[in-house]
Amino acid sequence: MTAALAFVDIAHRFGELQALQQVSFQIAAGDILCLLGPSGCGKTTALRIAAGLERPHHGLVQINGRTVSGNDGFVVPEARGVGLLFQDYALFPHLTVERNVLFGLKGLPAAEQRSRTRYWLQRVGLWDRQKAYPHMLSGGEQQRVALARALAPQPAVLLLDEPFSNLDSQLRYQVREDVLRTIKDMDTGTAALMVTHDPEEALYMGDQIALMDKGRIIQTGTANDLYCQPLNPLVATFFGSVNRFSSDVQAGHVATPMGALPAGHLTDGTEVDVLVRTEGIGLAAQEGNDPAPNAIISTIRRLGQISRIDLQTLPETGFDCSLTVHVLGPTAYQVGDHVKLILDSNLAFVFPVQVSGDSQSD
Amino acid sequence: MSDAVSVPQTLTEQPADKPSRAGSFALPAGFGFSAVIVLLVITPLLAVLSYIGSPTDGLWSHLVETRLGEYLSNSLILLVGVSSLTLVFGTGCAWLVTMYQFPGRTWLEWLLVLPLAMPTYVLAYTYTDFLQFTGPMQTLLRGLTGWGWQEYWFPNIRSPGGAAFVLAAALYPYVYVAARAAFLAQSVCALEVSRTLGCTQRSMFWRVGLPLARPAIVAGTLFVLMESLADFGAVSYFEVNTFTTGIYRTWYAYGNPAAAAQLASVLLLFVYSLLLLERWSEGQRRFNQTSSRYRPMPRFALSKHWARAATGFCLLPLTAGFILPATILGSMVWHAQDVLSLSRLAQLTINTTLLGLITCAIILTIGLIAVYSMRRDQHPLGRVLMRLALLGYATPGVVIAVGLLIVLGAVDRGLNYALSQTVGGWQPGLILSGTLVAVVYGCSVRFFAVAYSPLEAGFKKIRPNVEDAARTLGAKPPRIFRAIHLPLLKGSLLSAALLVFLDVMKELPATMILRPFNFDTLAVEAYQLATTERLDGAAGPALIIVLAGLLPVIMLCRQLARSRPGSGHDESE
Amino acid sequence: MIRSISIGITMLSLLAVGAVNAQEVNVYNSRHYGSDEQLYSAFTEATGIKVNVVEGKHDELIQRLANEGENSPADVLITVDAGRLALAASKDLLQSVETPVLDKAVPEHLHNPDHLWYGLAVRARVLVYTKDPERLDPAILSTYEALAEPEYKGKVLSRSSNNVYTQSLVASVLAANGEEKTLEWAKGVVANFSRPPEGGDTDQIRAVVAGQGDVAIANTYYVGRLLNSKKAADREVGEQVGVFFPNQDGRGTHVNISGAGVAKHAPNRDNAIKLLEYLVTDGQRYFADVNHEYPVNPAIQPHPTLAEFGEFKQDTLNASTYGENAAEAVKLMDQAGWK
Repeated sequence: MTAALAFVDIAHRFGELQALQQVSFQIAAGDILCLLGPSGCGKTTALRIAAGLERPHHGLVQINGRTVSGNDGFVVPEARGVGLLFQDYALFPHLTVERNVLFGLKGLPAAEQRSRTRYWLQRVGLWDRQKAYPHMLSGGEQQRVALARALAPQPAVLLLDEPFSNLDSQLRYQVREDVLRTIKDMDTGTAALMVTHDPEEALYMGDQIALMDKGRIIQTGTANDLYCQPLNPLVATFFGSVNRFSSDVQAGHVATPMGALPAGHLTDGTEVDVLVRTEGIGLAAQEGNDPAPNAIISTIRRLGQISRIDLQTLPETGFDCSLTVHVLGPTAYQVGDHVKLILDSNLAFVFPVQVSGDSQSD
Repeated sequence: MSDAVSVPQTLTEQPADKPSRAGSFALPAGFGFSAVIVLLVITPLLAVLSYIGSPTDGLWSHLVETRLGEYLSNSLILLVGVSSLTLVFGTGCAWLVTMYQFPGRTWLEWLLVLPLAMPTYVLAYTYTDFLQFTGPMQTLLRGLTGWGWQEYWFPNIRSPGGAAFVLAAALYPYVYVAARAAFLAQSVCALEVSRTLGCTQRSMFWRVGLPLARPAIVAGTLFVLMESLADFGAVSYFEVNTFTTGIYRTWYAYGNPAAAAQLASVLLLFVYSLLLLERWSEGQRRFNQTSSRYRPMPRFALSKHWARAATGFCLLPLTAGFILPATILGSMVWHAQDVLSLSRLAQLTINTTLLGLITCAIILTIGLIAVYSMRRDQHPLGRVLMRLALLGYATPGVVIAVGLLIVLGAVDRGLNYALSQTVGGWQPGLILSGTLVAVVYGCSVRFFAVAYSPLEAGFKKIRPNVEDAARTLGAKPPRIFRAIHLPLLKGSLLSAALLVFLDVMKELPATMILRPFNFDTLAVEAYQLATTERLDGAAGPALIIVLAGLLPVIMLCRQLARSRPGSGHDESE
Repeated sequence: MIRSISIGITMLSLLAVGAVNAQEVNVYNSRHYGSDEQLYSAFTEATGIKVNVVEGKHDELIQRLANEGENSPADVLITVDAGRLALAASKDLLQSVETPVLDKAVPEHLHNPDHLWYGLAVRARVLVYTKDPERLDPAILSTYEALAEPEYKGKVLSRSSNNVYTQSLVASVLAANGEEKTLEWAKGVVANFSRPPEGGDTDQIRAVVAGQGDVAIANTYYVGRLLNSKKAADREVGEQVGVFFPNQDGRGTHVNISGAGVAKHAPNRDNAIKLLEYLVTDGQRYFADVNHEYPVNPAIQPHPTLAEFGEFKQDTLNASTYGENAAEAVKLMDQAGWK
């Protein structure tokens, strides 16, 4: 089955700046791929290349198996059949909501234009605002109009450029859900490429996530892949706070304050970084001195859904470090309690120390 | 950046890292195209400057010994006088009508633009007639006091100071309009924040309002300066010898085109450096409106005393630039014995309007193409070049006209030669010279800047994302231009058209020299009658220029009122 | 796009207008007086030839004629100053025309020796003085040269050196007295100015009446115009001044000649000649009666107002000399500080 959108070894340069290198991915029809990364990592450039607003210096872009950018030629944006949803909505300020949506339907029979406009405006719940001008709408409404406008021509690919970043947090969740459902409900097999810097958003929206840094894709996979099997510390740290400490491999295992971890294929003596997600450490109930405690609670912050507990390892563990643990719901522990920490080895990762490794951590 | 309520209509420039926008827009590469336009616009100037190399027969040493000092000092007095007067009154009135409530404010707000309809030379005629020694004012004074010649002091209107006064009275609306638009556009939030930080109402003007509006005010003042330097009608009537009249005198009275071209090049070089300086300072301090919310500007109430002072302050330039001269003109027409026939006046009006409309259409088309191509391909050299094309506005109409005579004459000779060689000896005679084409060309060179600036500003306000959105929705460039750019530029286009129309209607020297047979305009007729000392007759056409200018001026006012951000100009559609 | 094409078509059709019309004559005219329209329509009535006009300043019209070259549509060049006609002749822009009518109508000294141009009307540059004997004793009036004498201190009114009449007058003084004396004279006149030069001829005359000065240099027809004005106030001004013809004992009073010549490449040469002939015969009435100029044709009587000024001796210096001397005259005035 051909991918709805495929990038094959795309490279792009702005003057001296290497914006993209060896970028390849595929999106299956009906799927959503999130390009995730810090600002300046090249994700927006990749999106513009998909739209045809930039012409890459190297590589192929294919939409539904048709090469739209490559050595053999270049298809201009207006002929690509892509929809684009901007961070600032980019509604046409001089056109009504209805005419904004109609804009992309030129060439269809008039009746078809009307029915599709009606369908989409009803779909996003703005049919009653069809005669309004964009500046008369709220930000969320504008975004929904922009979505209707982008989807009405039934594009093969929908491109979303930080689509929710201008909305406040309450509205963001709602619009996000609307957009996700709308895309998923489409029977046209429209695939989506979404650019975001928000990992939570990527995890929520993406069937697949491609994490980018400095113009390259570091890891592509499902939300679960990236969360549970990060390929390097950067990926691990990008999706949430981690505890990090240094160790080395001994007898195929790596020692931690909470016990040993298997070292996998790493040879003995390798210096390693151990990253443990804050929710990868559990606290065991304490009955006297059994099991033997290995940490003491220094602070507790109750944040509603979760509680954040900071701990200091006890000297008998052989480690002297502070750890942070997230537990669900309110907690009965008090500051000064001695506790036993239990490690979830699925959420602990061992990486050999990179000489110039990225030390991004919490 | 979580602004859920309003459209973030920030004036963001395109990020610098997007030079190579892909795609094949309908127009050829922008830089090449704008270069052609610039070339077309400056060709007449180059034709005049081409005389620079020829010998000047020692005229320079004669000029330096005799006239040059006068040209320099008079031009300098004009520059300083006109810019300070227009700055004080243009900016001051704009701030008052924007920020304060006082009697007559709503009327003054648009009345202050009226002098745009008043040509500088008409102001010169009326003020001279009114204020000179033999005029009604001084005659009355002498009659009342019994004083005689040299027994009292009275300011001489025919002086550099008088010229500065007249030019400022006619031109201050350029600064007023620019400053008012800038004051209206500034965010109320910035002003309110400044007050919480301890700014008084008055210091708010100096510390927040003025600095934020500075680029617009500088641009407006630059326009005024260019127009003042290029003025011929008023200063020559006043016998105030400036660089412009000096160029004319050197070319014709001395019969020395080389020295005239050299004088002209000094003038143009000066203006060009001003233009680059403005560009540079704008680049140094580019303001982006950080807040995107526009609420109706709350106007401060003034105490009775201050309110009267504000009304008086705003009435000063309006009276000087419109009320008084229009009244004098009206009374001249009323008392005139030697008036033009109605059919003659009608013919003059038709000619003037025709010329204005054609020139408008041409300049706007060229201006749109130029701005559009500049937007597509942001070649830095293109921007510097485009400044060259704006020079026409600072070039005296006579210089442009002479340049065009040279260029079009050569083109016609070339065409005739080519045709006689190819089409069996057929010689059509003049194809361009002495036709409406020549006049329109001349006016286009002169007023390109007038159209270019508002169009450039208008285009800047259209976010690139809107174009990108349109493209991904399947619109090809012509449709984007038609369906997105044109409607969004409607306001800018209208402003540009009205300004060009007003300017063409008032234009004198280029029209006069380049026009075809039997093609008199109101301005030409008024000038001819005035210079042959029949002000009676001149008053009629002059008054019609003013009256005909009122309509575009009023439309301009409406346009300005609607263009305010947040005023929701789209709702009316 | 469609709009710009239609504009193009409109403009082309405008071009076509006037391109081919058998019975017409094209005039470049730097004389613009109220009589013009009557004059042209009378000519059209008499001959059936339509007159097309571009009016402008003489210098610019000559420049235009020169740049248009052999393609120029102009048939006739008319200027208010013979010096400029001479300039056009020296640039080879005019052609020689000789007909019995022209020969008979225009006296020898009022046309170019090579018949390149003919005078149409004469205006004398005279001294206009106040009739108030307390302010000025008319007996002291004698010559242009005398205006530099100390007795005129603070009395003299003149136009600026930008004005072509002033330039021609000084050019004629230069021809008569030479460079050195003319500079001396110009300095003397400047020293006697009652105020810096400003305004037009009428302004000078009004200034005399208002008391700004006692003697003004002005053209005769401006006095005639004031005396025959429909406004009482103007007539009153005219009546308070006297007209004095200077240099009657010497070379005569400086006169300015309005003149016309046939353009070198005139496409309607015959019509041009007809216009010229009309202007020096029947057309003379308009110069004399409407504009108060002295007709060149001895057969035509000047306006009664001018007749009242009396007969006078004209400086017969050929107008070509003004043209040749003009640039030099302007430089001398610069040096003398003549504004």
